[in-house]
Amino acid sequence: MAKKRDRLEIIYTILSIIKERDNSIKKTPLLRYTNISSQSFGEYYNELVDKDLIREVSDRKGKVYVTLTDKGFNFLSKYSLIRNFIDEFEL
Amino acid sequence: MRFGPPLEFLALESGYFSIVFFICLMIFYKTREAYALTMHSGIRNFRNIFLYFSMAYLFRLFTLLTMHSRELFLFDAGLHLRGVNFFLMGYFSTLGLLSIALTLMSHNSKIKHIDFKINAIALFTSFISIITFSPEIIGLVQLITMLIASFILIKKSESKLLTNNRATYISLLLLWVINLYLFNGFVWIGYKIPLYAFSIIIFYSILKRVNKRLSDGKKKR
Repeated sequence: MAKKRDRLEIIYTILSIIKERDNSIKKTPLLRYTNISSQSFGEYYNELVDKDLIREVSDRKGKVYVTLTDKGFNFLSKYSLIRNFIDEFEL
Repeated sequence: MRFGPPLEFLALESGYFSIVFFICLMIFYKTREAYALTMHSGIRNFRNIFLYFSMAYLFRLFTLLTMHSRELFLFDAGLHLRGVNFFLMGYFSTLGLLSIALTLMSHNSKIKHIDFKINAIALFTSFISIITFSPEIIGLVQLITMLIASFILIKKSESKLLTNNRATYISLLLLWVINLYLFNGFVWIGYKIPLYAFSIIIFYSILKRVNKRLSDGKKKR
């Protein structure tokens, strides 16, 4: 059985999916790809917006897409360093 | 009984404080981005250890200087100033020790209102220290706090009990408590130097590891 993902891993997964979809994806497919409950997804989504890791943009037709902010890109680039740091110090 | 001239005491304590203070703040500074990006509670507790210890060592130095102000500077710093420094030393050192306890327990414990609780414990410990004006009492209270934390750790631990990291954290605790018991009077410099050197080595080894982990992978494009 796959190990349960921790909070940081889930955030990394969400941000990675957005990046892989050319930094533009709607909320519903994003939920589907992250493979977590809709309630949990809602909590993570709000947290990511509050912490300015992602933002919502609307196209001309009013459709809302999710994109990464600069901070979100920074998170992805630094993730493995931070993960190694957390593992190193058993935090 | 006094050992050695006051100048040696002043130089040693100031030098020791400066190095430890600088290292602690460097660790706190170097982990800021990791915390800002992730808001990880384990990183927060880790950073707090060194922030609080930097303050604890700062007020430890102030307390020592004010306690021995007559011998060192030929004037009495006054009971109130000594009391304030003593209080703050007790407060920040207890916060530092409790942050170590949280770091040791982080995988095993979700404590509600943790910030409020550790501040309450720290304030209580400092209040005790003001009433008794005794560093040994602070050390005893802090040691009891850590024994309780260790007991909880033993009860809840599912993995290997004593890892390298936990040994490092416990060393920080023990070094602080020993520091307190060397507090009074001008203890012979020969006893202090090896302890202070070992303490600096521990702090520096942590800084080196933090630096390595958070600076690695800066690949040139």
